[in-house]
Amino acid sequence: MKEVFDINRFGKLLRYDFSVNRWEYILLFPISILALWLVLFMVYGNINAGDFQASSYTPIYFIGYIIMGIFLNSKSFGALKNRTSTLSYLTLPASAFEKFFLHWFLRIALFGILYPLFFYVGVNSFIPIFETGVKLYLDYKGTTASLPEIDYFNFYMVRPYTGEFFIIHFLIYFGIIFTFTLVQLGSISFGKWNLIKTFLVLIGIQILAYYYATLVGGLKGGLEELRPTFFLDGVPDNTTVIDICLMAFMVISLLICWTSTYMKLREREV
Amino acid sequence: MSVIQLKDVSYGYNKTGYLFQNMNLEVVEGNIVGLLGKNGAGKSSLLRLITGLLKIQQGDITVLGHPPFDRSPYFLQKVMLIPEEYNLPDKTGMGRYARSLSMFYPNFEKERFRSLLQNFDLDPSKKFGKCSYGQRKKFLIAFALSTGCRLLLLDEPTNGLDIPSKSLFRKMVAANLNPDQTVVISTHQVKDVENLIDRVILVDQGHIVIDQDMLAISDRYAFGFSTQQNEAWIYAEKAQGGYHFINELSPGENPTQVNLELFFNAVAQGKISFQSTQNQPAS
Repeated sequence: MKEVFDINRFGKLLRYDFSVNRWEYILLFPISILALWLVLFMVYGNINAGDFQASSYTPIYFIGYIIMGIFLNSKSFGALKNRTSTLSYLTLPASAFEKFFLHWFLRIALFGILYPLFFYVGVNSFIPIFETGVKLYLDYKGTTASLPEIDYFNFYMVRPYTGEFFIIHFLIYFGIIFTFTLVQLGSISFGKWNLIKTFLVLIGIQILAYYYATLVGGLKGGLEELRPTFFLDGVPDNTTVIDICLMAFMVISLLICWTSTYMKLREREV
Repeated sequence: MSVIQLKDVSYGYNKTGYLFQNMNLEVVEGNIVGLLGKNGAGKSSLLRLITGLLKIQQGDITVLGHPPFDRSPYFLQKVMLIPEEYNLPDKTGMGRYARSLSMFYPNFEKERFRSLLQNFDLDPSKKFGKCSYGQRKKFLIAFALSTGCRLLLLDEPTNGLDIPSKSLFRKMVAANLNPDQTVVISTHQVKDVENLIDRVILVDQGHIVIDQDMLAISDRYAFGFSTQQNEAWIYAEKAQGGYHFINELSPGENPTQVNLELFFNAVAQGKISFQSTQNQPAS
């Protein structure tokens, strides 16, 4: 078992990764904060800031989460992008599973934990800066307008939901993780221009899925009527067997994607 | 003890043809092997098969008791490959990089590494981006010699080194090897390694054409220089002021130092052939 995963060796791999890519990691935080500030500046400047509630952050939060996550995951397995670095990476004394898990851990799990904190710090540090800026601008213009009141961000709106319809929240987070996993798989499969190629494949899959759903719908119009005999709290009443099968299929697909990424790394030749 | 063992190994980059077919090879502990051959003979591919970077298509390969393509961490910490072309992080200093990489090698000797850097005149604080090709190579050689790995594979190690560094490389390798360490040096610059190796393997068109101890070669052949050409020589090459030649060593004659380049050319031209016990030519 220690041959596949050893926590000490994984720690060494983390330290090695940070040592080699430290500038990327160090710069990622301030650059992302600046990008977020720019977005917030445009948002606050274009709305009636007085009405800006904490709930209004939700779309920015999720769009930022997806864009940043896709960017980060498209950089996965960067060492495999050229022949010489691939050679060094594959001969590094750690198991293929540890090397795979490092990317999964940093770019999906740890990112999922750190992103809310990053967003919290980014938004709540910008509000006083923005308000000071507006105050100075108004003073300069000599206008006696009241300052906009902007709500601070809190974690309430983006917390994992456990009440009724929790399944919808689960599906949103699941979909995001699934997207990141596909981008990671694309990164190890395609090498150069991996993000574009991954999106082309995704579009292809979506077209196929659409026609497949249309076909199924056409063949069995009353399939929606098939309802599970069990009802869980949080599962909407109109959930059909097809919906549940689709969810199970997605979970299996996610596991297949992780396995494929790992196998691609394990079987890599150079 | 056998460190590398290839049994009927076949490998090719595509399905239409094999680069190696039914190759057999055994390297024992403590050997310093010179893997020689022309460009494209398959030397680097053989090293990559041994390191587990390529997967054999047929046969068996065992390196230090491991199937290399499994790339087990316990295997990888015992084997060190210095390829001809390599990638080092430009923005990282030598010392910092060595610290992060040395953690993976349990027998890494910091003192030895420091002393080797000094001998190679390398500054540990210098970033790789500011190092020349030769300095990067010297760093890798110093690091590899300090890891205490059981098998060291060097692919064209003297390429990019200046003349004093080539000589220093030979001295450093000879001085820093433990008896249980095995080295395979792949090169076509045979002059650079002829005083270092104790065994020679010649690869040509994917086959091992010669696999002999250096002592066996010097016991059988005499290498010399003469101003006069002699028809009895096995092989000769014209040089400034005369001829470098190879002749059968006569009984009672003292062995000479092997001129590996001359020997290589003689073998490549079919003038010398040993009965190889380890290789079965492709059918």
